[in-house]
Amino acid sequence: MKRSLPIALALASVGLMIGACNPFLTGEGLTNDPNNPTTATREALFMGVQATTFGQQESSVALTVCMWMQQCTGGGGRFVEEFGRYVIDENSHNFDFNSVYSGGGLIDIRKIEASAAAAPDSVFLGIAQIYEAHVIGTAADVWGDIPYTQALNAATPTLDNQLAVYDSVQVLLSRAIVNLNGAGPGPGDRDLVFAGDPAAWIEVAHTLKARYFLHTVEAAVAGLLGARTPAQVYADALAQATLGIGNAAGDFDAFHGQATSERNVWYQFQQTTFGIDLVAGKFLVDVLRARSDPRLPQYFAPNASSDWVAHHRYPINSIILDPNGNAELVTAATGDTTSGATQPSWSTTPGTIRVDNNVTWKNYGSPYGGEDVNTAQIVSTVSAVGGTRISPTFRQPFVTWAENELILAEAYNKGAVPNDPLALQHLNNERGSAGLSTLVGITGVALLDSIMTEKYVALFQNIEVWSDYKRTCLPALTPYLTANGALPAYQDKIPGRFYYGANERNTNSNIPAPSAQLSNNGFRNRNDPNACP
Amino acid sequence: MRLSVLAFLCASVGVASLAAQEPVTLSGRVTASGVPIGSVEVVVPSLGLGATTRDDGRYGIVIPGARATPGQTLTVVARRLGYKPSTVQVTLRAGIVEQDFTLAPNPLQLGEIVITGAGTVTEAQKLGSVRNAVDSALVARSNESNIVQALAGKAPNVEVTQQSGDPGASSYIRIRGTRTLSGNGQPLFVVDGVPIDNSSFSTSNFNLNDDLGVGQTDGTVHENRASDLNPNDIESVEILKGAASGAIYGARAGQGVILITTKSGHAGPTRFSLKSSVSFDDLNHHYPLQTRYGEGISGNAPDTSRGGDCDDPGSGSICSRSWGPALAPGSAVYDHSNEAYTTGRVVENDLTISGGNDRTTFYLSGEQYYNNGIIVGNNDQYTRNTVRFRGSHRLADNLKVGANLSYADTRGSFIQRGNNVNGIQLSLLRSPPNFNNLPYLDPQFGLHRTYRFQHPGAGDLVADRGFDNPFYIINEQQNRSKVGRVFGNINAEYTAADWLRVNYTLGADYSNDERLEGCPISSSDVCFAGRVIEGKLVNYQIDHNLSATAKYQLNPNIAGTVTLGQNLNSRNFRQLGNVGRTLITAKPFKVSNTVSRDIPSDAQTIIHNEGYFGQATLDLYDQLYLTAALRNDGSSTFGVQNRRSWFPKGSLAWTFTKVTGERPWLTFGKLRVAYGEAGQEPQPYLTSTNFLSNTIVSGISQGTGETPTQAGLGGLVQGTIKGATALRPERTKELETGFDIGLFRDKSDLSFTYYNAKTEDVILLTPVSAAGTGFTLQASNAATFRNRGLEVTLNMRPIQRQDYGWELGLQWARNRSMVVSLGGAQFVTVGDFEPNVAMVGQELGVIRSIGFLRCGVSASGASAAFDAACAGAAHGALYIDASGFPVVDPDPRVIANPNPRWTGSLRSGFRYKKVQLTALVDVRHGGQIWNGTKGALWSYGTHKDTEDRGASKTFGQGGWWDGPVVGPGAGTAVTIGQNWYRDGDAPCPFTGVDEPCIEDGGYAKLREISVSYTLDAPWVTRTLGVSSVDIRVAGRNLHTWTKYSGYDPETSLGGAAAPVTGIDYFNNPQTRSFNISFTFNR
Repeated sequence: MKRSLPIALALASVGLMIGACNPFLTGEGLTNDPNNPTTATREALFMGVQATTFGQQESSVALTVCMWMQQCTGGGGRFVEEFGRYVIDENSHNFDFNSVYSGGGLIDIRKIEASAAAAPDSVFLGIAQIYEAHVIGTAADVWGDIPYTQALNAATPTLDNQLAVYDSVQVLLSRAIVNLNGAGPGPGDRDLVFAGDPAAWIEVAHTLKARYFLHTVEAAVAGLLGARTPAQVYADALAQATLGIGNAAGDFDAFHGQATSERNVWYQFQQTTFGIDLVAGKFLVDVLRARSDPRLPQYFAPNASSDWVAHHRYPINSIILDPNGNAELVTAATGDTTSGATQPSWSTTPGTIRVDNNVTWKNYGSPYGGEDVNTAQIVSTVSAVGGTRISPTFRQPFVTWAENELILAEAYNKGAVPNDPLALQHLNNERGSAGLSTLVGITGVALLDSIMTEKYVALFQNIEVWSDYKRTCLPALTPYLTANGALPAYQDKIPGRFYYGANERNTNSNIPAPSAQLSNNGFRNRNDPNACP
Repeated sequence: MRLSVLAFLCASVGVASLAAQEPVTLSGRVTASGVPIGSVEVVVPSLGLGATTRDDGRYGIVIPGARATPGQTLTVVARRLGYKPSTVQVTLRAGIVEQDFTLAPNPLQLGEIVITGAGTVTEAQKLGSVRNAVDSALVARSNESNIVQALAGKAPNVEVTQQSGDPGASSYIRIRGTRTLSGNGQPLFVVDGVPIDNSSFSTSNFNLNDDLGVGQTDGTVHENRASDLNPNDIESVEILKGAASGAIYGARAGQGVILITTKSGHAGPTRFSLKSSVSFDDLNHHYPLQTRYGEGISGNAPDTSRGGDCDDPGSGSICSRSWGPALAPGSAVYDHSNEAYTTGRVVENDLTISGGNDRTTFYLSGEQYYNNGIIVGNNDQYTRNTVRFRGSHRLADNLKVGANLSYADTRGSFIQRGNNVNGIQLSLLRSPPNFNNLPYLDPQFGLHRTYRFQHPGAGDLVADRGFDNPFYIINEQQNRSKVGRVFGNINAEYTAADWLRVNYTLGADYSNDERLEGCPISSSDVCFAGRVIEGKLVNYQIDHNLSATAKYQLNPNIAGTVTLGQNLNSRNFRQLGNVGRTLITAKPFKVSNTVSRDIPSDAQTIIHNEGYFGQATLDLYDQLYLTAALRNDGSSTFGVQNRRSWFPKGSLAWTFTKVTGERPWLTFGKLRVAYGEAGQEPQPYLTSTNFLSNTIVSGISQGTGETPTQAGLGGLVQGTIKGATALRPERTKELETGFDIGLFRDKSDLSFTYYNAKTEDVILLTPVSAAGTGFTLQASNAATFRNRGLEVTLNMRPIQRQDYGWELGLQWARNRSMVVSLGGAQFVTVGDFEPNVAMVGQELGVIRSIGFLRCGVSASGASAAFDAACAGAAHGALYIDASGFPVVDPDPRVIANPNPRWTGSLRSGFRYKKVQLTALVDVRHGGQIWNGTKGALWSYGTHKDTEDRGASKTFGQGGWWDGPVVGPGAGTAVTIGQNWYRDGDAPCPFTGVDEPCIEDGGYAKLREISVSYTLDAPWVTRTLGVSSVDIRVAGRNLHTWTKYSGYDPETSLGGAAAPVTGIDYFNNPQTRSFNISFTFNR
């Protein structure tokens, strides 16, 4: 026992000594995460911002727009197909909403700006400001009123009026242009788009200014911009586009590489997950085929018969609910023209047969009990979104010379000079570069239609197509009939916006409930006072 | 005090030196009801000597002459679990002293030693909290290889859910409701005084790109590391429920503590025991699939000839669905619900050798466990080989040292499942009934064929197949886990004086887990062109626990103990994983055989804890027992301002029958009340705000997105989790009270417990406004949960005769959880697949999602017609629009509660001579499940429900969405077919409209049934050379009574890695098994 007691005391004191070491709880790797850095240079953050921007412009938002604009059609039965049928909820674009502000988005852009301003590196600052304008401008396009003046600066930031956000974006782009004319080494080769060339970024800034001026034109027509007239808006757009991207080499395109996490996101989605979900949209294929557009094989993969065919809207045996509440069944259809852009003048008499645009409809009477035609039935002959567009390294265009030329064409068409020939000239500039023939002798509304149709084709997969459609209703798309259970607010209409993300609504009392968002202005944004037909 | 201690020490030394020279042998026989009983421990506490009776009831203790004084009177105690201990005074004399004992049954476990954690013990009747113990016999009868699963149905409010029937699948345990959302929410597992690792890790978690951080919902099932224990080694399990009993473990006991004691050797002859068993497993429920309609869409069949519609992998949906024409009578139909399964088998051999003498004991065991699962082929396997040595040696009369060491080699080979086109269930159940999945290689070119790509051409080695053929998955994939693990402890027990005992334990747990997931070269989707994941997990933990317990007795009526202790714990976890893509050549599955690699998954965590604890007990008049304890814990995970935290507990037990006297109908009665506080430490590094290089910054779905590093230039983005500057441990404050009574001369006992637990400072990754902060989540001590419940245990022994007996045990429990506060957010998502949430005022884990417009439930204003129709309508009435269909509610709401209303079990045992029959039925009443598998199969047209396509149904009538309906289309009959199941709102996984997929997940399961017979006739010894042979025939999960339409309501997509229940999405099925075992004892 005399021996044992010291043993116990020794054991106890060993324990106490270990315990007494203060770093036991606070030493290396214990309180600070040993796995990730806690600081980042603006160079490293800039890589993250670029990757995020490329991803944002190529993922859920863009593919939803592609389907709603009928450039693509969703298939495969997954959420893509549901989105295509206008079935969305507040979770659908939740991630996209967050990413505007979170890592790779505004929070990192602001860090780059602060760091560049302190350096000082005026060129880096200017480029970062363009990224900020682009991400915020796109967010205003799809969600309308968004937090901006209080962004990153309030627990529950209020929503800024969408039109005010566009004003802020204009101011920011103007500052970016000033800064790009200043001094500084800039990001150099870390700029994956222009290798740090300030002149190229200045042109992009001007084209973006022109783009965002046009986004307010419908509001100007409706008198929502106070004293500012539509003519002034077009004039501003014209002035900016004149200084905008001067040739295709100046396009703001994404960078993509062969590495897994550097591949074009459209490619990733089509080729590496759950099969082909996006196929050719009927409307776009019809336009491309009708004029033998050389972009057809660039946009879409040929089908097994080396032909390009879009999804049939009304295949045989499809049934829709007509406006009288009767089931109408397609009993016969011929050719690729089975999808009539207009629908027959329905009869209320069961058994009646109507023929429309090569489609034979038979009234099966009420009640409606069949399938919905608008769920894409993809027959094997349909073309996938593919061609040269679906490649891991395809540099997705975001802001381009083509857009700039067509902004010029539209601005001249709507400008102060009646029938200004410059409108057609700029349209033909762009058509020529796309391999299309030169148009002659069209003016006014017909010319506007050609300009907007060409822009619809040229800006394939670009989120901007939706903004153009919402303000001009061109090209004249026919909304898909919505499925059972769709809400009246966008039943048989192309929705005008997305729901705010679920995360933001959960945490920010300034975000209205989805039902309130639906009932506000027909689920359209402020710059879109009038619904399209 | 100090003086008297010294005086006492001197006195005892003096006694020792005066000892006589001749040894004394104490021997005798222990019987109960006239029958000799073995395994009875007979001890002389004052000398620290003891022996164990043999099967003939005899024991012998040799007291060395140096320590035996003739005429000296010693206290000798005989005790065995299940019997009341018997204490006698023996007066020593030279030679042999014969002392027999007769033990009385002890159904109430009075006087039994109960381990209460951190080196403290008490006697059962002194416990102030409810006791739930599981002994080795119950573990053995469960026939489970995973000790966690073996606890199913064994104690009220201990819910155990197995991930699936895969060999080695994890089991998730929940005690008295969920109290944390940190980590995996599992209780602390302590083996022989040392905490062990019970983590679960999905191999897919190495693969950030394809899984968006939710690996456990695809890939394979995974093990929970406590399954590395050999259940045959387990002597007993004490389940410390709740904070009132767990507080001695402080910041790690918030979810309860499972105290496992392994078997040890006993003095006496060396005993051998060999157990050999074999089990046959099979699928316990076939998935209901339709067999009348073939591949196609809208009634049209695809051209399935070579070069036809189904030979273009991108062809889309005419080949993907089974909405084709009715199959002609007599045409071939394939049984996809059955074809992938066979009879699985388990072979287990376990050998133990134990024995010892009065100073040394040993226990040595080895186990081989082999399970080939029910999925055909040899890639569905689990093996475990373990050895354990436990020994103790009395170095000096007052110093006993011991070691307890175990090595486990655990290997699993799994089949992928879940939300995953490279998983078996998704492709198997979606296969059209008229497509033969076999052969899985097309005969012409020997390439992988699937129903969506039926005739791959010569150049199609690498091409998307839509979904992989299930047999290609089963036979060509490799998903492996190889674990080497050593754990154990060295310990010392030093009796400094007969009133002072010092215990020291130094334990370690080290494991290395190597993972491999290899998708072959012709795989689809995220495994396109082949993919290899190789990863390693290294986990080591060291635990030091020192405690000293002093006994005191002030007078005959006042006694007690005081314990002081210290605990230091270090846990290190390291993971390193690599994902390689595009196989260069088909084999081998090595990352070096791939073209490109993702950013490695490389992380480590280190957690240190430092705790001090003290406990004092006070026994008054042998009937009133008070216990108070206090622990102070520091953890490296706590925020800097809150480096240490206090955890108190106190309890009171009163044996009121000492006052009222025993009555024939009330032989024992105890009232108890206990209060305690226990915690859950935060996950490590939540206090850091980081920049990330390996995160996916954008993407559309699984497997898409960009990382910040581009073009070889390193990039970073701000992480989405904002660092928390001040984190405290979560704290559960729990009050429990109840009574234990023995009724009708111990023929029955009843235990009742009520508890009310409030968990404060629950750490949540609380959503924050991304627009306002640039982050989406921040950890904070934001939430308060409450769990309240009742537990009842009733045991009856109506017939107890020497030759036969009948026992009946009933358990019933309910728990109601409530989210009291979330610190501001309306809800916090806790699931990672479906929107399970914590939401204020709701039970934890309810599913908040999209349903249909219902009166009084949905917000008004979504539709004017809806508002009008609901005027005066019944609450919850379903709104039917003019089309005759319900309309989607744009606002999400709580649509399901996966928590059961109550749980219970019924155990019964019959004994006739040497035959025993036992059965256990486990009941879960209520608890809804999101059956996403069904929703998806509706869309694919393979679910049995879709066989009745074209039927006319009216919402609200005839079993079709019964309940009140309103609206312009109410009462309108509609045709239900593809329009509803595929194109309408029914297919919940694709539409996000989850209401159609909610089902009742209640069940009653026949968990166990067994018949055993003990052969111990003299001829057994003569011919076999063993003393007895136990033969047991048993069944496990033989039948499930449930309304649930999927494989099994006991399913858990995320398993033990994701504490969210009620999600079913293409998880592998459960199994039932038949088992026969022989145990040879010598």
